[in-house]
Amino acid sequence: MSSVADSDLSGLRRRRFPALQALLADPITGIALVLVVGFLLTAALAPWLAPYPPTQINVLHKLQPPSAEHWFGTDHLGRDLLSRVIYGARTALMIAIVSVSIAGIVGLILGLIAGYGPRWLDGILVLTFDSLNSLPMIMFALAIITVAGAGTGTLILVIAMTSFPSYARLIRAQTLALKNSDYILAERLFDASPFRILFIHLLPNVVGPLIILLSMDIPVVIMVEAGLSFLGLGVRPPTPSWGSILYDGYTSIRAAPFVVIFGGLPLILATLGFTFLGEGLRDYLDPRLRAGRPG
Amino acid sequence: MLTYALKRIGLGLLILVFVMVVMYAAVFLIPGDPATVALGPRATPQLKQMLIERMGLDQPVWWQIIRFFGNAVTGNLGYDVWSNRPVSTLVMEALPNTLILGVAALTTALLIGVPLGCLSVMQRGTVADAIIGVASVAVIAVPSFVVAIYSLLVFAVMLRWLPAIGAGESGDILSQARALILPALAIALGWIGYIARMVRASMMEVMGEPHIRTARAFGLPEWKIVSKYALRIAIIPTISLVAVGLGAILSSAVFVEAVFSRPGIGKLITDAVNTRNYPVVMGTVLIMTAIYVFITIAADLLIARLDPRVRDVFRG
Amino acid sequence: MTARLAAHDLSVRYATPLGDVHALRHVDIEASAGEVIGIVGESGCGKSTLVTALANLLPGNARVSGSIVYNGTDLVGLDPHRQRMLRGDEIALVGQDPMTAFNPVLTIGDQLVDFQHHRHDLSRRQKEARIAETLARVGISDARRRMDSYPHELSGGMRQRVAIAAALMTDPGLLIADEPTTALDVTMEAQIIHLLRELRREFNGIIIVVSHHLGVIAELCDRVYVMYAGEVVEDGDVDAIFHDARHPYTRALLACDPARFHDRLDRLPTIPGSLPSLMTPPAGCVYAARCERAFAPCSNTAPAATQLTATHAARCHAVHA
Repeated sequence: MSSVADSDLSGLRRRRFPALQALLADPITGIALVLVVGFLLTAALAPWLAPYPPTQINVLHKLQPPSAEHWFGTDHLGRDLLSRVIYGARTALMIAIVSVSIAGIVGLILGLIAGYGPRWLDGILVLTFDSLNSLPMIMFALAIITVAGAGTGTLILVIAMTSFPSYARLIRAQTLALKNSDYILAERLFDASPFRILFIHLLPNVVGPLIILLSMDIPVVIMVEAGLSFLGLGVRPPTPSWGSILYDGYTSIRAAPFVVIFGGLPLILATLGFTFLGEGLRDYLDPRLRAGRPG
Repeated sequence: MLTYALKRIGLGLLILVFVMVVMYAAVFLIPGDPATVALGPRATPQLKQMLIERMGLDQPVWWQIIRFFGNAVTGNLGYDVWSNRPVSTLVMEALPNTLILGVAALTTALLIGVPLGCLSVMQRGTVADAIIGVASVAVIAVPSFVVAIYSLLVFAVMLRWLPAIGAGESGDILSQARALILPALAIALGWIGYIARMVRASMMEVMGEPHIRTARAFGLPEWKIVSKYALRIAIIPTISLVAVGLGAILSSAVFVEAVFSRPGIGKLITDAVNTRNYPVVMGTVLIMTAIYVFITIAADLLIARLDPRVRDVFRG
Repeated sequence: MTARLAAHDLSVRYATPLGDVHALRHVDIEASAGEVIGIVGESGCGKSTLVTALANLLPGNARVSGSIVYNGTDLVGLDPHRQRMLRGDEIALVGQDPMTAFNPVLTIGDQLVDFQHHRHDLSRRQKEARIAETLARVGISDARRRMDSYPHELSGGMRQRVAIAAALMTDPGLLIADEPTTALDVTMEAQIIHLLRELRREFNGIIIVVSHHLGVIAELCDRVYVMYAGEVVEDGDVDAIFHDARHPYTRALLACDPARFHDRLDRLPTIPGSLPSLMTPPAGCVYAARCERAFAPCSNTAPAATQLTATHAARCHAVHA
């Protein structure tokens, strides 16, 4: 028992610093990390980075091509596109992080209950997860938006509701596997309270895979937010969002193609950055996948 | 096999009922009633009362759900709030366009993705394999509607090679095919990467199995081992992926149809949401979910047919 | 009779992330047409690596040195295409586990037709006729119907017969049977041994049988190589090995064979200790750590082969001609 614990500790110690190195050793993951950090900084520092207020309308200067004054040009209302793209990063990341966190917490709790609770409850919960999972996400989102109206809150609710079942399923599977492992059985023999087993022993073990899954879903959520905003069903105007910039650009695609080009690029770069960073993280953290690689 | 099929279909129906109950519950948990939502706050009480009665909103919730399903079974999905046309007619008009788009996208993705995955396995560890791997992840990550907008910009607006909007002239197959190319490719692009990756991963697993060693021991050429001995097994998980994919493709279709103004399910439901046309939204969601659930079941049955081991389990 | 297969100073190591595994070291093997060669030893002694090397099926991380000369061609360093042309034509392998040896989603007939791909002169019908004929030869009745079966529809013994038939069909000069009976139950094992004994009379190439089961080796083979920790420790005619074993490991192995006990024993004999690490093989004799006769030179000097008779040799400091 003690030797197992010791080797685990030394394993962790050996890994901590080389983890970052190993992540950066892969050039693509390195570039992805730079992109993600760049977007996070852009979002955080938007008010200082943006040359103009993102909602400042100047109809006299509408649809101006890129110039020294407006690096990305202006949209159909004469708003500075660069400033809107910078604030759009803020909208995208805020919605992504908040909704994924909510979904993660709900999924974690329901997954632990399903995995550790009584069988009948597990059955009901699994049916719930499966039903929500078998629903095409966008269809469900559209149904909710019809009733609740478009807006940031609805968006977060919809994303959280449609993504928590897959997290809950993962946590449930992990919990079931751990529940019958030797060390949890030993804990139960010593009459440890279910609370103690759940939060001291199960939780730390199931959180790792959950975080990988959450990080891999961030680009998907960014895409859904942009897509719904493109349809006019996401964040409400005049809040800047990459999706609504794309919509504005789409309506003036013949006259001013630069609007869709600059509206789409940050979206592509952000989804690529988060996706490749998630891939790198998973390859590094998931030993099963690492072992599965051919030598 | 038959009992298995029936069991799966029964479970599918149960999921469908459950989904609609959840949706109804969500509707009633959210503040505001659909009539007000649909008509807006300035509607007269008389108008609102009329709509409430027509939509059956004065009845208890459980009765509404039962009535909804009762009607749905007989093909009645309710009526468009504005035009008063039956929702089922609207769906049936839009559905072919979306299904054609989905099938075209998926076929394209399979025709390109499966050979790419095989190529990756045959060239494993080489630069070609690495490039296919990174490119696959990249095209999965890029949102299909951005691909749609960019391809619209390049091929329809700038080069003028292909039409920018619509589904083509009805009755003119060539014009319909031309209108299909850009939307189908926009959806297919990500799926090419997904399928290539999936085929590669499950193929690598199969390549380690002893029967592949047997095939090697008999000196079979590598391309034959990959394309016949490994692919026949590796394709099985890919099929279930593709089936689940059709559901996801219906979702991508919502965005891509909006970009190309293609009169499909996606456009129908988006317009309905924008005009708060609640019966159309509910009816369309029910039909799409049903299609999605039953495609998944069909995929399972297909897998059972493809894998003789599974087939015998069900036969016995 | 001319020697057709000769491996000389053959070594194989596998490159792994934790370091090299020396699976096979300085092995010499010789075999001539008409001979049945046995290779015996406990699990992990390098038997499978040896036959995998002979069949040109080593994985990509294997590094081979020495030579394997088959009919005048050195298989080590042969280009992959020519290696492949030998496999399934000149060299055939019957694998360990009949349960997983065949592709589960293709019929037996389909696979056996594919395995005859070297025979460009035959049509598909002719290949099918050969399959039916060979299946009958290995004792499978209603061969035509079996050809339409999937592997899981056949029993383990039946599948091993099919595997042997597949190997025979290619008309090989070298037939390798890697643990042909290990995965089978006792009745099946007896049947397969019986089948192999029948076949050796009509077969005029080289047969190599690998087993950890001494009984199988004694029943089938003319000459035996005893392996331990990647080295051949003793080799000789089957009678010499079973009745006049000289290496302490061979003796211990024979002493542990339950089939050879004359009386009921309270406790089954075992060889104390375990195999040395193949990452860092010992400098001296590989068996020294477990040997009851070990003395001073054993732990630091590797013993050279001592030729006892023209056909019997042992690698041990304690053995003298």
